[in-house]
Amino acid sequence: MIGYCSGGRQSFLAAASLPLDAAVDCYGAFVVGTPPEGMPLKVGPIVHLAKDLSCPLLGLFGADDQHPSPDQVAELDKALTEAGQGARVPQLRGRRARLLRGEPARLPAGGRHGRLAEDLGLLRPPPGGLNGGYAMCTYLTEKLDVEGSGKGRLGWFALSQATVYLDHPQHAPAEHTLNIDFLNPQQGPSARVAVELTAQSARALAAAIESALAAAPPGLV
Amino acid sequence: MYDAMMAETISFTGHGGDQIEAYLARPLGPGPSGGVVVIHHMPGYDAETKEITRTFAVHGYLALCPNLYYREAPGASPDDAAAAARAPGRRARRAAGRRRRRSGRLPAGDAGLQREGRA
Repeated sequence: MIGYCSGGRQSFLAAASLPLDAAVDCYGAFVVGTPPEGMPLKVGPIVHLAKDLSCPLLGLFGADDQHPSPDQVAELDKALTEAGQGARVPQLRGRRARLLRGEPARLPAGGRHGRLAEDLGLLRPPPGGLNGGYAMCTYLTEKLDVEGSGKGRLGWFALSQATVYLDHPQHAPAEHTLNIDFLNPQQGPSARVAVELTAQSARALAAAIESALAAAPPGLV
Repeated sequence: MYDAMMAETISFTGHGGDQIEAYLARPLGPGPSGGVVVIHHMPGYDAETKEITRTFAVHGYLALCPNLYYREAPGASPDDAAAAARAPGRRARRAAGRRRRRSGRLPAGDAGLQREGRA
């Protein structure tokens, strides 16, 4: 089993829950450490499950990443070593982006993990289409109920929720953007108006909204 | 090395009898093949993850990537599905959990695995 980002953590969980031959955790956060406030999924540290791993686990992490940080990776490596599960956690140079974008990474060779590492070499070709780099998934999400309407691909619809988060954009040419989704979950996932703004643009927008509201004649708002 | 493979969207029976969408890539050479489960990243079951899945098959592995957001957003585009998975408030998640418990189903993906892991 191999999982990426949040899937890396799930790969660790699966290896601790199911009989597998091998597992790979590609830069999964929060195997070690506690997620920040506001994360949508309630997940705690799971490194104590290292003793339950059914198979060797290869962890691939970027030395410049913060989630997980090099200290957290070191803690994971120590826990895996203590659990005697034969897991390996090589620290690869750079960020995870580099792991996926074709720069050859040095994996430990030889021993029982040699073949696994060799096979993993073939996974390094870039998935393509990633903008900038995947330095981290923040998970941090502000949610609010909203009243109003939005115009999406299906035309106008009533809005009931908004989520605001700083994370990787799907489309904007930046590594991280302030993303806003205006949603109506009752009408399904496609009832959505999405924007991805640079931090500077997002701050300017917030100030402009406040100015417009402040300038409104009394009684209108 | 013979590198032909076939990749397609399939449906399989998941936890609680749910039909779950997945992307299956299999080598066309003689077997047996090793099997790999590919778990997508938080932005979802997207084109890049499908490419990773196909790459495994090119190198002789039978690879399966389940759409972890299928229960929340069947048929939605990957970015809409990821937004839907991020959006539900605590009340909505609790309500969904109650519905699943009543129907004998556990939550999909990370939450379900974590529950098993903590048990």
